[in-house]
Amino acid sequence: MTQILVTENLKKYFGSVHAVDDVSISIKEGEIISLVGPNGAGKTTLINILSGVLKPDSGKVIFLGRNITGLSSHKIAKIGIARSFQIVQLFENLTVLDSLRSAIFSIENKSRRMFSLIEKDVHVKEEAFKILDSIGLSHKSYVFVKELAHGERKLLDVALALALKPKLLLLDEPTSGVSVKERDEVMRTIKSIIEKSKISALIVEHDMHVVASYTERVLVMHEGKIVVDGIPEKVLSNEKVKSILLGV
Amino acid sequence: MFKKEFILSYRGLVSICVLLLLFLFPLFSSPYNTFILYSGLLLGLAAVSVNILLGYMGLVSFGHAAYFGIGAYTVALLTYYFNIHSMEVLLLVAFLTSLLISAIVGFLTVRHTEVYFALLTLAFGQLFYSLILKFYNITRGTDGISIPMLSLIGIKFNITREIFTSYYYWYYGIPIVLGLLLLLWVIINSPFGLTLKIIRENPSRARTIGIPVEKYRWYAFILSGTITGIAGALYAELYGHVAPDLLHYSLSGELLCIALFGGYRSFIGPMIGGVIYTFLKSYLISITSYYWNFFLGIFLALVILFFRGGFMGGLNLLILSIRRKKS
Repeated sequence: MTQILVTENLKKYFGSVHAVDDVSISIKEGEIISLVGPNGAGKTTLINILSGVLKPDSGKVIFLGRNITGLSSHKIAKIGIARSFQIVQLFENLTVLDSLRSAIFSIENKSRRMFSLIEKDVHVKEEAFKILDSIGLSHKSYVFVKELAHGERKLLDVALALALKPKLLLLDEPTSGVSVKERDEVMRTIKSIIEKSKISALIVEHDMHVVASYTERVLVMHEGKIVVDGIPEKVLSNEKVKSILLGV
Repeated sequence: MFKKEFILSYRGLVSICVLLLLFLFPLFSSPYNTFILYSGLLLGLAAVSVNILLGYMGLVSFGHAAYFGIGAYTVALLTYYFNIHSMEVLLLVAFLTSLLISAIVGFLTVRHTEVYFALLTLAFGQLFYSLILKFYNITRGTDGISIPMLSLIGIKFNITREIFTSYYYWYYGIPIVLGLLLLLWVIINSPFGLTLKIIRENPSRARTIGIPVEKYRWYAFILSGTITGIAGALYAELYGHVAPDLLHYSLSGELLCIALFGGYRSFIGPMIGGVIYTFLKSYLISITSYYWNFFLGIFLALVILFFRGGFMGGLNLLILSIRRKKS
């Protein structure tokens, strides 16, 4: 399998805090990886660097052989790295359908079109409904985003990223705030889409059950560094990892 | 021209009635009322443009009078110095001038938002106001410049100004206003318009789905400034005179008030706001030439306090409650 994303010695310091400290990882095509670690380990900072929201102090990010270090987030989104957020970031006063359409217009380079009506673009509408069907939200297409339930909002956040047809998906705690009952359903939905569209995913996760059941490889982050990298069964039974995650 | 369903819909009926009313208005109204309605529609068009930034992007511009005035002064200066009397040529140059100026000011301001954006646009607006006010040798300062009756589609007029503005200039200018309104409506309902809305809702998320946010703010600013400039150019010939007041920030404030009063969450709200505001103002001035500002202020404050969606917001609530009662 070819490598889709490689980082070389990434560093990001906030004053004396080493949020990301010398991180070198590689993600292969089609891999579903989880990123775990205690609060403040630097997981979100790493996601922010990979998606262009933050610029690293030093180090490189190579995506599909191209150096994308420090590229702005809108450019990174266009070349194939899409992300979701720990605290959902949505367009509250728009409908579910319009939110998805805005992302599809963007990736199809149609956002600049001024003289054609949104409704006339049947192709984009169909694409939006395909995605809504896959996350089971098509019956809510004309509902305003602010009226959705929490689990649905989480899924829509992921759907916005999927609408960009990424090659690498970065999900920042897709199950946070989702009830334990709903977690499996959310993860099953996300995993089946990822597998169907044959993309890679890096998922920040706190729930070890989710890590063990839905991902193939685990990266453990602690104080800005990747300390362990391996398959879930081995990593999760590792004593060092247990003590890091439990904070003892 | 229209689809059958549109004509039979509630919106379709209202639009057709409004078009008919506008077409017949000068025939049964006094020239004075035609004049008031005309200026209300032009202020309304400018307010709809201001609202592209306010309602669709969440940006408060306190300097839009500058583009209105730049459009107006383009007409005045070109007729005064270069003896250009063709309204079409003047409108074209006014379009280009306001496009250029709003592109420059927009480029320098859209990197900022909220209070910083409001203050920057205010500063640039007052800069242009001062330039027009102080360059007396060119702009004739507070005296302003008078504009003669211009030729419309190549036809020169030798009639009284009253007849000119309330008939010929009405049937020339109102279709332009309606055309620009339709153009803005299409743009708001296009993929571009949707992109503006997602930037208003959540700019950082818009970035992560591939939108260069500042660029789109800039495009919206140019669009808004340019249409305001054309409204100003039409306004100059309607009044037959321009003065530096047209660029003063109090007019920028008036445009924002009109948008809020008419309803900034509605596309057509600011247009309706412009018409009601102008009629109300002229009525208040006619009964109390000293205190009209006071009464107008109270009225605007009451509408904005009690109907957060302005006039159109209130109307929508009314229609909803009637429908609920019926069902």
